[in-house]
Amino acid sequence: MIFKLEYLEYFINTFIVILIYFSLKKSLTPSKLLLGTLFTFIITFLTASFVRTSELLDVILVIGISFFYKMSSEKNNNSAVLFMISSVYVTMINSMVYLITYIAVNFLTLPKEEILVWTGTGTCFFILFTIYEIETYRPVFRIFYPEYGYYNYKSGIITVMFTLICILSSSRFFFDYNQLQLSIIEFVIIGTISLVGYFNYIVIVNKESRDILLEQQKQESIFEKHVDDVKTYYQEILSFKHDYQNILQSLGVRILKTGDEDLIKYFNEITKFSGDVIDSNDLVKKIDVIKDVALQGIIFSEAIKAQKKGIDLKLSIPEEIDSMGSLQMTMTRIISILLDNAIEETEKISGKYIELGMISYGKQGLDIILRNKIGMENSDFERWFEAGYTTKGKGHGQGLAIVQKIVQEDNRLSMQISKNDDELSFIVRVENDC
Amino acid sequence: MLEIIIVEDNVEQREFLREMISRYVSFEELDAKITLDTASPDEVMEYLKENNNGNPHLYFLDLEIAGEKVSGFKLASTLRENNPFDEIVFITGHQDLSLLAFEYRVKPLDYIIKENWDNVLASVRKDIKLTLKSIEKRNIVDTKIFVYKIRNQYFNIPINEIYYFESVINKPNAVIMRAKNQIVEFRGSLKKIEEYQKKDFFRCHKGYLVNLNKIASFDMNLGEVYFNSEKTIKCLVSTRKSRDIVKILKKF
Repeated sequence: MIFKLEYLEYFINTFIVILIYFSLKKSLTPSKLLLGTLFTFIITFLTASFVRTSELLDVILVIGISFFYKMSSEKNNNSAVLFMISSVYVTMINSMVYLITYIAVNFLTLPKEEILVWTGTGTCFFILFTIYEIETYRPVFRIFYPEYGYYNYKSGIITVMFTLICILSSSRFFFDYNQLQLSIIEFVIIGTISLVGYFNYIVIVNKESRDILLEQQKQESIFEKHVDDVKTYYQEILSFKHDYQNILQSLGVRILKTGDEDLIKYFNEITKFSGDVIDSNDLVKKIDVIKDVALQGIIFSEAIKAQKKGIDLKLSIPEEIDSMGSLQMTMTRIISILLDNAIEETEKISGKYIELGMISYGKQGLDIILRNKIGMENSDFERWFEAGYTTKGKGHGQGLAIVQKIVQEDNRLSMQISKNDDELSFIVRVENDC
Repeated sequence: MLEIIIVEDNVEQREFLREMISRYVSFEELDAKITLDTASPDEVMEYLKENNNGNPHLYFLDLEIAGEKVSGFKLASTLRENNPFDEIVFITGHQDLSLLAFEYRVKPLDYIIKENWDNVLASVRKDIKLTLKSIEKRNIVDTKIFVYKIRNQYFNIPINEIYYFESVINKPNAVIMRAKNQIVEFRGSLKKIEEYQKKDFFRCHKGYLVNLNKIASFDMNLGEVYFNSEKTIKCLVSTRKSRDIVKILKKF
């Protein structure tokens, strides 16, 4: 067997396919690398001596891998697809680099072998770059991942592409076209099929998100009903309290008429106590200006939680607050964390109240302001944002960090924290770009 | 001259306020005058449109105009947006109301609770004096301030209260300002701030712009500058800028 540059090309091609395959599988270890090299040697040797075309071996490999993983009990057996992706990717890069090299060296009139060497080097560079940056480009590859049964069509597309390339490459033995023509054809075919595949993918993802949206709407209506029920109960309790107060007042007039001083004194004592109980604020009425059910629900339940601990949640919402739309879950999370923190903090000090304000800017967004008093031991504002700083026990004090993270990850949100003497204010701003 | 505007829907109370304020102003010979007293927010807006003479204003606003809480809030928000330097004082009958949203949006000078009229009048007098004083101060003292914008509202902060500005990961057009007792995020870029504030600020890192006047110490080995002696407020310095910052700090 005489050494030819073509064999080197076989070797490099197979080797980089295996490299990409392992890095896509996240299992690129030295031992795997060694195994891969050995494997590549064998394949190259076989190809060079018997088959004379690497594509046939690729096909055999894919079938082998599929078979192996069908046999093994591993559930997530996308190895065959990953291998095909790697193969298609390498062919694509190969074709592209070939085209570029061809155009570049055309004017220099280099021999065919040299073009091959340059193509090999260029491809290697691309592949190494891909492997180095594989996590950045994973989403691109992921378009074709069959992660859910749903997207099985993706493996279909990959298979079609793979088969076409194999047929095309092998056909050069029967038809008389050169490497340049082959590269152009491969490039165009892979490009077209990728585009078609991508659009199909978008259609399916769209359908999936529509399904999710429908499910969410269903849940929201259930939740809405639930909040309504709770509000009705609360209202009933309030009206009962109101009736009770009326009864007490008329009873008071009667008792006053009797002139029995002992009785009057006793009665006054009792009514003073129940007066405090009855004098609850009209939370339900105030909360009704919030039109977002989830937000309303969370504030309502936090208010009741606070009330149980003897803390008054004062609302200052001068105008109607619209539905939060896609930010609903995020905002509910932020508000519940901030309110929980505030309740925990306020519990420890006297003069117990928390103020929650909301200002709507219509479609442009919303400001949410939370203000509460803080105890002395927590007054060292500067230290709060040091990693791991908390005055509470283990597992507490993560809230602020979580809120910060949520806000930083969403472009529509921003936050302001300020301390004024013993008062702490949080402002969360929602800015819709419109 | 300071123009005083009263918005109150109860005629009796309005007359009383007008009477007392004008008597106070003329007795003390203050540079102020009641230019409008009305029950309707619309009238205020019209008046301001017609009399755009650059005079500073002091508003006494009843929060519950015509029984509607919203209109007071709307009027105050609009006034604040139109002129950030005018002063607004709320008068309210509700003692137990949270005015958080009003405070935040309108930044009133004061709010007065209508309970004891002697106290109300004392507060009104105090607020007029305060406003006049702040106008005077504004004309004389020129401390360096930094102005930033959130939504359509401008906020300012003395430059000597700012420690540093920080860029935000994932948000190319946002900046976090770390200042004394507050952390604020707003739209902007370090590059722009750096351009305008070349004298006081230094870009010591890709993601940080520090106030040179506030630096307490610098650790070259760790590549960190500190803004207080406890070293709790700090930010990073890139190796490339380490030498520059030493040079600049020596000059300071």
